[in-house]
Amino acid sequence: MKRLLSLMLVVLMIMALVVGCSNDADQKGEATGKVDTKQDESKEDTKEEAKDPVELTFSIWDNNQKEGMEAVAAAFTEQNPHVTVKVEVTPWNEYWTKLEASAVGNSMPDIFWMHTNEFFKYATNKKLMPIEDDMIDQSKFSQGLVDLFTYEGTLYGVPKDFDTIAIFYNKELFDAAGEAYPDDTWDWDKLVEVAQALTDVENGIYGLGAPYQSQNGFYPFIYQNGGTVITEDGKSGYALPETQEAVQFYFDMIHKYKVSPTLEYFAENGTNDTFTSGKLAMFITGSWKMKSFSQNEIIADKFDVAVLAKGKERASISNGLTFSGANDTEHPEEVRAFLEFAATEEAHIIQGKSGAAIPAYENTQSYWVELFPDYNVNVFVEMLDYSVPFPTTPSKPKWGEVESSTLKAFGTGELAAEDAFPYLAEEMDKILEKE
Amino acid sequence: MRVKSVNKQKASNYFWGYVMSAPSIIGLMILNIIPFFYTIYLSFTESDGLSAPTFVGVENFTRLASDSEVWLSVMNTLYYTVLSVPLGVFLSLLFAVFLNNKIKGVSIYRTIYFLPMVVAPAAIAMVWKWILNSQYGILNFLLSKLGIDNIGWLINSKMIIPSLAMVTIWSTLGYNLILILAGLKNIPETYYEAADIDGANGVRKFFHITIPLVSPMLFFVLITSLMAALKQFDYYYIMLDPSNPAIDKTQTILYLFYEYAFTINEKGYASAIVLLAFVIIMVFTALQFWMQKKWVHYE
Amino acid sequence: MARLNQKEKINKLIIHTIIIIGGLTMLFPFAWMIITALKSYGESIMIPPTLFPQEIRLDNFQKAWNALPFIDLYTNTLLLIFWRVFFALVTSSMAGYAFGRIEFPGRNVLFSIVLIQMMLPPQIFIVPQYLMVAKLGWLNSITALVFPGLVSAFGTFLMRQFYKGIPKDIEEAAILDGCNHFTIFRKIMLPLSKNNLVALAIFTALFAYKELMWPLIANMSLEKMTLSSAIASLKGQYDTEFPVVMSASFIAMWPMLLLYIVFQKHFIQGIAFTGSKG
Repeated sequence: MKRLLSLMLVVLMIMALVVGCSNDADQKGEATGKVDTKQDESKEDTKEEAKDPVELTFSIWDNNQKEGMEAVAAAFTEQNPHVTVKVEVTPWNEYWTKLEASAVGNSMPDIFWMHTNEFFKYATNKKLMPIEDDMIDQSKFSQGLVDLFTYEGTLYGVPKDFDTIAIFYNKELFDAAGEAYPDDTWDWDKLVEVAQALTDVENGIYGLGAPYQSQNGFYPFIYQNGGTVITEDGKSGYALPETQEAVQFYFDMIHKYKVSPTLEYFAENGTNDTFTSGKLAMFITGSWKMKSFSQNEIIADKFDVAVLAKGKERASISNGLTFSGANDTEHPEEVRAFLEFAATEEAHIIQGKSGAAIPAYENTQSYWVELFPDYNVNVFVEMLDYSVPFPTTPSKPKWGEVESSTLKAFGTGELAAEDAFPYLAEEMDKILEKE
Repeated sequence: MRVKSVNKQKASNYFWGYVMSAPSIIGLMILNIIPFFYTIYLSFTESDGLSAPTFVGVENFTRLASDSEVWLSVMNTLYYTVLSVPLGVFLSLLFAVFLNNKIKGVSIYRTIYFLPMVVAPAAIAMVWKWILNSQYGILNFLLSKLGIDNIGWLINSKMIIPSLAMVTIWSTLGYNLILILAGLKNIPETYYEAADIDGANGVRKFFHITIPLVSPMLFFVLITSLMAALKQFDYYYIMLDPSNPAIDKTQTILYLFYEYAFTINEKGYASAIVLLAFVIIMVFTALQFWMQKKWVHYE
Repeated sequence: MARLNQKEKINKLIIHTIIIIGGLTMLFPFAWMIITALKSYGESIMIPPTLFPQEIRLDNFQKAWNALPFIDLYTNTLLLIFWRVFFALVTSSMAGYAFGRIEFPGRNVLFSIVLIQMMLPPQIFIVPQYLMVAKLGWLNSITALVFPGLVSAFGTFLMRQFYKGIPKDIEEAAILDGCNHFTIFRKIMLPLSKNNLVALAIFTALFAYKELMWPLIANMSLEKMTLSSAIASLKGQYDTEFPVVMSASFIAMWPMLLLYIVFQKHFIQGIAFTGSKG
């Protein structure tokens, strides 16, 4: 008994210690907006004088964009010689684990990319540096993009790039089947018709890929059909017949029209390799694929892009990233300077020239477009006019999980439409209500 | 006088017992046990990982009890363990016994069997993903020559767990084998010679000499394999694409934990799930320790 | 007599066959890894796959070598291994001895802490350990890499099993002479367990080598990472170039393989309960 008591005492002490620590850290971060304790030895010596050399860390997840980001950083250093920016790449999954841990520990990278999936979590916990109106000229960026990263009226990041979704198609397969390439006259019927004509199951060639993807999968179809994922009054859009019809249409590619491999097939092989190896005539994906496909020795001369086919209306999905700053950085001035620089035309031109993503700053898209003279990449920019911002809410991580497990089961044919949609709508509403 | 020296001896034993175990124990307390208690604390709260946790009582546990997804994952984990551990330990023992013979080039064989241990896990995952690909993988290609139809190793919800158990056995065989082999090396030749004189056959020798004498090492291998199997996460994480529709039906309990902790951002519920996993592992380990009295022979 | 020989020969043949089949199974994925590393990207995703590369592309190795700062990675991995092994040897051998051979109150309770650590999934340690390292200001350093492995529950358990296997009579004389346990440990047990320590060292090194998540979380830059995690980071969010990743893996596995080959003899002897022979 005595031993048990003393053990419990130890437990309590430890808990108090841990809990105490984390509360302490939270308050510190919130009250002052920065942390005085030194987190990183390399930064210690920078406090004495403003012009002492400062090194900022800049965390990103896409290796393809490392060079572009380094170019932006170099241009910034040219204007601010005492500040260097070190770009560091962490793979997508670990990126978020790490960012979360560093946010709890008040040791976030000074600058980092933010994604719509995770934005609300960091914004609501005041981990992101607010972008005040005098820092950047918001009118230079598309309103949809700004809205994606605005929480309670404040913008929490400098729009970096945007992406839209288009049809990627294999010209060789079209030529072989004697079909005309997709263009802006296409509607859903035409899409199915041509996909069927291109499908050659015996040789393992499919007309149109329908993998389990939302943004570059069934979302555009939902909006083309007049549906929505989240209604204006904040409820699940999956209760709407327009939404259901569109999702049904999307997965009909597999089961009814038989122009797409199954979800399982794509889970194993991915759309990229299937497309690259010439087994897929069309699939829809985002502008972020342009750089790697255009440099791919196999597919580079064989593919092109086209606008998405029209449903009841035209729609694509646009999403984007921001350059965000850590609210608790030790170098708020330098980070602010960097973010201000990141919002200039110059930075976006540099970024655009690096080719990895379409720069967000108005009229700088042409620098990106010019990089791909052999392709019809203008469509990505054109589609911005009618693109719908990527649907998201603060509880996206939760309802996204329900959405994916339900619709995956629907897409494999395991769940019937009359079971899947009411269940999904109800579960999503429950989660959305709690927001 | 004698009593005093015994007491003194005891005091010295106590002293050195604590002092020598202290560095490890203190290290484990700080590095592992504090996070463990913090996890217990979190399991009674709701938190997205960044905001301050709010206390919710036993809500996470009542939710856990009625969450069929959790219990499915428990069953998956047990199934995976049953498939990978007994067969894995048996094969390690078998090959260890074979490699304990005086065979030409035995050290080359040992090196070959040990090879999977020196490869980066990401590489193992990628090679196996490619071998097991249902359409174009080399394994199905070879099987088709034998007239066996396409098997969806990594996409059919009935095959995923056996496939991953197979990869696990492949990648840990060498490690377990080396441990058991070392245990075998320890058995004095004279035991076998004596048995030969008694006219014992190979099977008898195996069960009456080999198994008992290698049992402490076998026990170690069994315990560590069991714990590793019940904690399986890595191969799911690096070999299965998140878009795989079969994941929901085949995920292990720790994969589910990871999803809740890092994708869905429900730290409280994730902590409750991981505690359930811990209890399961503890029960199995305790069972092993209890059963060891029946078959493990220490000197 | 001749018959017995015959039987023995057949036995040997069977055993040999099984070992060879097993060995080929073990080797096959490596063969596939090397074959893939030699293919062009186009060929690597060819459907159906080619058994042998149509044209041998050694430039994948060049690409892999350029893609990662291998010199840094080797250095970091070796430093990580060195320090992890050093700490594991010191702390685990002492604790293993205490738990295996000294009677003291609370021994089982304390040993259960070791077992608890082994039972806990490593994922729950990541964020708390990150916070500790961050608080201590060690992020992005070798210290951060080493930190979670300062002590080893696995090593303690392993050493306890070793020491438990050593017959009692070895130390009896020493105890009668009035030696304390630390002296026995230092003078008698440590020399006896030299090979065991080699085994512990190799296991610790292997675990450190294979660690995936922690280096990616604790250290920002590629120059501060280890071989395994750097290879994992080659897999970008959208793209995977199999041949390059395979080449990189091939380049990365050599240090550990050499280490194993060099120490193989000690290693196997090391895990045996050397004490019981005496």
